[in-house]
Order: sequence, then structure tokens, then C-alpha cells
Amino acid sequence: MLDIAIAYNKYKFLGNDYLTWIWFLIENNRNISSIINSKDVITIEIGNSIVLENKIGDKSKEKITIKGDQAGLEEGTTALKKGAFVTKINLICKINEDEYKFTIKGESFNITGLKLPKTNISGHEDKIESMVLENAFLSFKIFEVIDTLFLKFLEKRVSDEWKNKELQEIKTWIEMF
Amino acid sequence: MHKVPAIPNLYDILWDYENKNLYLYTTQKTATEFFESFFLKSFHLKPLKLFPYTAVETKSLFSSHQKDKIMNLTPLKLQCGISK
Repeated sequence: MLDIAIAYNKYKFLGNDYLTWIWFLIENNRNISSIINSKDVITIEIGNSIVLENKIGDKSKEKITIKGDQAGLEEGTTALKKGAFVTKINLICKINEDEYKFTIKGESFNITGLKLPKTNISGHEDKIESMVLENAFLSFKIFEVIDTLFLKFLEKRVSDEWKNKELQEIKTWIEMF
Repeated sequence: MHKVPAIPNLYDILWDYENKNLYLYTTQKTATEFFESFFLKSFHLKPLKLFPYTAVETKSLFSSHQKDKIMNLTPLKLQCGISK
């Protein structure tokens, strides 16, 4: 394994590419369940924020932040056209009837503001253990979706199908704006 | 002079022992660094933070050929007129 600090910086683009690809999946109504071979019905939507970055020259970069529940993503799509990539995104993921909300950062996979589905277990003292276990179970479920989808992205990215099909479709999608 | 008691910050941790996964519910650098060293001292196990590179190295079932290909990838260039 490479030195962790060096590897973090060298391969952080994989996380950003992954988030950009997720945006493509969402906008093109791709079936997430079939991509990750899950029996659950999984849907992902963009939540209330998205951050993109675009490198200008060797040292400069521009940052585009879109926030708001009903915010249009036109600035984001324009930035994509100019070569920007997603660095942070707020997502709403539904696994069957359960809704999860969170923000994920591409380079670190840091998840913030995770909101788990509501459970019927009360916060009563004698129910604390059940509540912790239920929350752990729900957390593991969403982390598994995120991790599995990332590995599927990489699997596609190094496949022959990527250059011939997926990349062309992503480019066509971007050119549509 | 009065002594002001320190206000502790509490963070949840989940240890999925069977699957060798640790979940620390904070992204604060000081807290994660403290936790890493405290965990190492307590259990003689060094937690490895999960990010794109470590996810490939530790969580995937990629063949060495696939891993080599991943390690040689370059950032996507999606602006109109360029494809890579």
C-alpha cells in the first residue's frame, strides 16, 4: 500500500468522479438497484446542495456552490460543461420505504448530516439498546449502498464498456444542457 | 478565581467486530486523530480511514489486474470536445 497521505491526494479524484457519475445516474433515471445487484428498491435524488470545482490553470480553481431546497442546477450543469466535477453533494436515498438524507464529500467520503429513517422505537430507557441496534442497522445499510456503488463505478470505469458506452452517454448528457 | 469545568464533546462509535468495521460519528480532525491514537493504545489495532484509495485496497474484491488499472486512472475530462 502507498503512504496514506500521498494516496489520499493522488486518488481523491476517484471520489469526485464518483459523485459526478451519481449525478449522471440520477438525471438519467438509472436503476441503482440493478447496478449494485440489490433486491431492495433503491432510488437516489439530489438533496439541497451540490458543490462543484473547476481547475483553472495549475494552481487556481473555481468553486460553484448551489444551495436551497428548490434550487435550479443550471449553474452546475454549465460548470460541468466547462470541465467541473462534483466535490460534495447532498443526497436523498430511499431504500424501499426508508429515506436517508446525508451530505458526502468526494475526496474523503466523509458523511455529514446523516438523517436516518424514523423508527417506531421510543427513546425510553428500557428501549435504548433496541434503538441503538436499530440505528446501527440502518446506518450500515446506507453505508453499504454508498460503498458498493463506488466499487461498481470503478468496475465500470476500468471496463471496456466505459469508453465505448458509459463515457459517451455522460458526454451526451452534458452536451444536452 | 473560579474553576470552570470542561465541557466534554461526546461522539458515537460503532464497532462492527465481525466485519472489522469501525464507525466514528464525527468528521472533526482533532476528534478523529485522538480516536485513532486512543484506539491503537487500547486495542493495539490501527484504524484505517476509508477514502477512495483505501476503499479499493481494503473493501474491494478487484483482481490485481483491475487494481493496477484503477491505480493508473486519471481524472475524468468531461468538458465538451474532450474525452478521456
